[in-house]
Amino acid sequence: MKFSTKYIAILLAALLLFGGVSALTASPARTQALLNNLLQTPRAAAGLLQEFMADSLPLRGELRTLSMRLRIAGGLERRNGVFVTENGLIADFRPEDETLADANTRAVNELAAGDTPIYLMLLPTACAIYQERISSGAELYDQKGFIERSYRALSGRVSTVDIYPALFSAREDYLYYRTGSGFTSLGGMKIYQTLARRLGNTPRQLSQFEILPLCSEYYGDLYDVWGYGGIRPDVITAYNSSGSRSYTVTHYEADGDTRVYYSLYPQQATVGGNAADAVLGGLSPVTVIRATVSAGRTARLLVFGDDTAAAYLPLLAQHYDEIAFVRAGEYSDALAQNLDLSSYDQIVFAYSLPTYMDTDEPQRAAALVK
Amino acid sequence: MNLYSLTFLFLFLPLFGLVYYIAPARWRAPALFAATLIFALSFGVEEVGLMLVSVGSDFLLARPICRGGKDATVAVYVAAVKDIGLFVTLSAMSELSLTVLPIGVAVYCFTSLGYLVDLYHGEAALIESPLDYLVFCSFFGKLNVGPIVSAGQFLPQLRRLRPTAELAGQGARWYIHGLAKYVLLAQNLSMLAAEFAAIPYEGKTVLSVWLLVICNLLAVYFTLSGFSDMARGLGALFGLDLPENFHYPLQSDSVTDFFSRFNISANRFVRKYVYAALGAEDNGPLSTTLNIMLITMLMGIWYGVRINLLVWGASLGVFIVIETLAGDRFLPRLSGWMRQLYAFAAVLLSFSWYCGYSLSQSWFYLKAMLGGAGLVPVNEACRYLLSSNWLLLLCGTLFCTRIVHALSMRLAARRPALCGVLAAVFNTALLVVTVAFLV
Repeated sequence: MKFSTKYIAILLAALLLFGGVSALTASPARTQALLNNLLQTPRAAAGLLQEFMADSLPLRGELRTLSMRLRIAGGLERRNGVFVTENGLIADFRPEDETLADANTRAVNELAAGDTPIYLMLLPTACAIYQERISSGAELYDQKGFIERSYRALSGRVSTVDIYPALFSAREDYLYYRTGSGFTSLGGMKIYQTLARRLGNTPRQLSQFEILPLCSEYYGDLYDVWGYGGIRPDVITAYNSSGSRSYTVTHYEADGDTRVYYSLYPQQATVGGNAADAVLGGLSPVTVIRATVSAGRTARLLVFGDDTAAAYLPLLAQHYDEIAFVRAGEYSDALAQNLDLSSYDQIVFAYSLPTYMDTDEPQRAAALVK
Repeated sequence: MNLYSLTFLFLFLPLFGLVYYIAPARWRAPALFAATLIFALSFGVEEVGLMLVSVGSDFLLARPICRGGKDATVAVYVAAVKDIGLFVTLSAMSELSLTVLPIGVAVYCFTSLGYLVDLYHGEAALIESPLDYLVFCSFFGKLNVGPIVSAGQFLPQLRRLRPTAELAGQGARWYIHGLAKYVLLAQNLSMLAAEFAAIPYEGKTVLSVWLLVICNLLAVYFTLSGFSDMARGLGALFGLDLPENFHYPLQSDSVTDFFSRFNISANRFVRKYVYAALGAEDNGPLSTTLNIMLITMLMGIWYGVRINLLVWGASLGVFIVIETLAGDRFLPRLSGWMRQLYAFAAVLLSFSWYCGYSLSQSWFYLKAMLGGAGLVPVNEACRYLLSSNWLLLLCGTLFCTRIVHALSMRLAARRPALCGVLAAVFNTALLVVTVAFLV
C-alpha cells in the first residue's frame, strides 16, 4: 500500500510538470505574449493560457484519438446533429419538408424557356455518400431519392448533372472534410470531372495536376458543433494544372468593397484566420475568375451556388475565359453594376442539398436571370 | 482556471506543489493564502475583490463578537444579513442572467457565518491572523462547492501543515477520482440530459423523460461529488484533512438518509444553525413538519435561487416529514433493497422539479414519469440515444453505487500488494483518459 501511494504522488507530479513545462517551452514567443497579457487582464489571460495548454500539450494528438476511440467504443455516434465516425465528422441532414425545394425546382424549370443553356447540379452531403460509416440504427434522409425526384420533375430543357454516382463510387476516398461539411479538393475533382463533361468540355485527369499542400491543420465548421475534439485536422490542397494560363480572382462584396487576387490559391487571403480562404480567397457574393490568356473559345460561365463551389471552380476555370459565381441571397443592385448576367453562355445552378431544400437561394437566382 | 482545467492540472498544481513542499513549514499557510488569491484572480479582479471585502469585513466583525455584550449581537446580525444577503442577491442575479455567480461566494459566506455564530456562542476561538481567516474561508480547493468546514476542524490543521507521502498519495487519488467524475461522467451526462431535453414534446416518451431525469440527477451528483473529491484531494495534497461531502446518497435506504448523505457539510450547516435553533423535532408534529420543510427548502435554494429548486426541496421535505412522523410503521417492514428502491424512486420523482425550467415543465415531467401525460412508452429516437450512450449510462450507474469501492476493499483485505499495484495502474490510466477528454 505504501508503495502504491508514494508511486502515485511521484508519478502524478512528474507527469504534470513534464506536460506543463513542455507546453510552455513549445512556443516561447507565445509564452512571452501571454505573460505580458497576464499582468493586464488576468481573466482573459487565464482563457488564453487554457487554449495555449490545449494546443501545446505533448501527445495531444494521441490523447485526442484516445478520447475519440473511447467515445465511439461507448456507443456515442451523434451529437448536436453531427455523427462521429472513425474517419471524422459527418453532419446529419434532415430537411423539414420538401415544399421549399419543390418551389426551387419550379423556379429553375421556368427559366428553361430562354436561349441560354441551363444546368442544375444537386450535391449530396457526406451523410449520403458516407452512409456506410454510420450505424444502421440511425435514420438517414434519402438524398439520392430526392435528387432523382427533382431531376425527373424538370422539363427536358434543363440539363441535369447527376453527381451522385461519381461521388458514391469513390465513397472510400477523402471527398469531404473530416471536420467540416464542405468538399475536399479531391471531392471537388470528382465534381469537376462530371460537371465539365456535361458542360461540353473534356475534363483533365487527376494525374495532369500538380498537388500542393496549402494547410495541414484545418478545422472545419463541424468541429466546434461537435464540441468534443479528438478528430484529426483536415488537409487543404491545391490542384495546379500544368498549363501556362494565369488568372485573376475578383471579389465583389455586398458593402461595395472589391478585392483582387492574382492566383486561384492566394495564400495571403488566409490572414483573416480561415485557412479555407486559401482557395480562391474564399467566396464573396460575387466572385469572378478571369483567365489572362484565352482558352481558345471565348466561353463564359455563370454559376449560382453556395460555398461548395470553392471545391470545383478552380478546376473548372481552365476551360473558360470567365466564370462568375453568384450567391443570389446576397446579390444587390450595387453588385449588379459589376456583372451583366445576360452575357454568359451557360448557366449552372449548383447547390448542396441543405441550401437547395432549406433556403430560397435557387428561386432568388432564377429571379435574377429572368 | 478551474480545478479541472489543463492550466490548473499542468501548471498551477505542480508549480505551487513544488513551492509548497520546498517552503519551510511556517511559510506554508502564507503559500496557501497566495495560491488562493492567484486562483481567484484567474476568475477576474472583481472576484478577488468581492472575496477579500466579504471575508475581510467578517474578520473585522469577529472582534466585537468575541468581546461579547450588545455589540456582539449587533455584529453577528450584521454578518448574517451581509453573508446571506450577498449569496441570495448574487445567486438570484445569476439565475436571471444578470451576472455570473462569483466563484466560491456560497462557500466563503457560509463558512465565515458559521464561524461567527460559533464565536458568538463561545464555541470557537478568535482567529487572530487575517491570512489564516482567508485560507479557512476560501482555500482554493474548496471554493467550488465546499465542503463547508468549521474552524475547529480546519484551523488546528493549518497550524501544523506537514503533508506526508501517505496523505499526499491519498490526496492524489481523491483528486483524480473527482476529476474523472466531473470530466468523464458529469459533463457527458449533462450533455446527454440536454439531448433528451431537446426532444420536442411530440417526440417525448415515458422512457425518455425518465432518462432525462436520471441523467440530470447523475450529472448533478457527479458534478458536486466530483468537485468535493477534488477539494478533499487537494486538501490532502497540502496536508489538510477535509471531510467527505457525499457518501453514496443514491444508495440511501430512505429519503431522510439521502438528505443526510447528499452535500453532508451544507446539510450539517443548515441542521446546526437553522434546524437545531428552531427546536428540531422537540415541539410536536406541526413544528417538526414546518422545521423539516424549512430546512429542505433552504437546501433547495442552496443550489440556486429559483422556484423549481424551492419546490424540489419541498418535495423532498414531504417524504422526510412522512418518514419522520410515520416511517416507523412502514419502512422497517420493507427489505433492504426495497427500501433502497423506494428511496431512489422518491428522489428521482422529486428531481423532476429540479430538471424543469418552469413549474409547468416540471409538472409535465412528473406526469410523464407516472404515465399520466399520454406519452408512448418508447420510440426510435429514445432507443437510439440509449444505445449510443450505453457505456456512459452504465458507468454512471455503477459509480454512483459503492460496488467498486466494496470490491476494492475486499481485494485490499485479501491481497494488499496486488491491490496496491492495480490501484496505481488504474489511477494512472484514469488520469490519462481524463486528460484525453480535456485536450
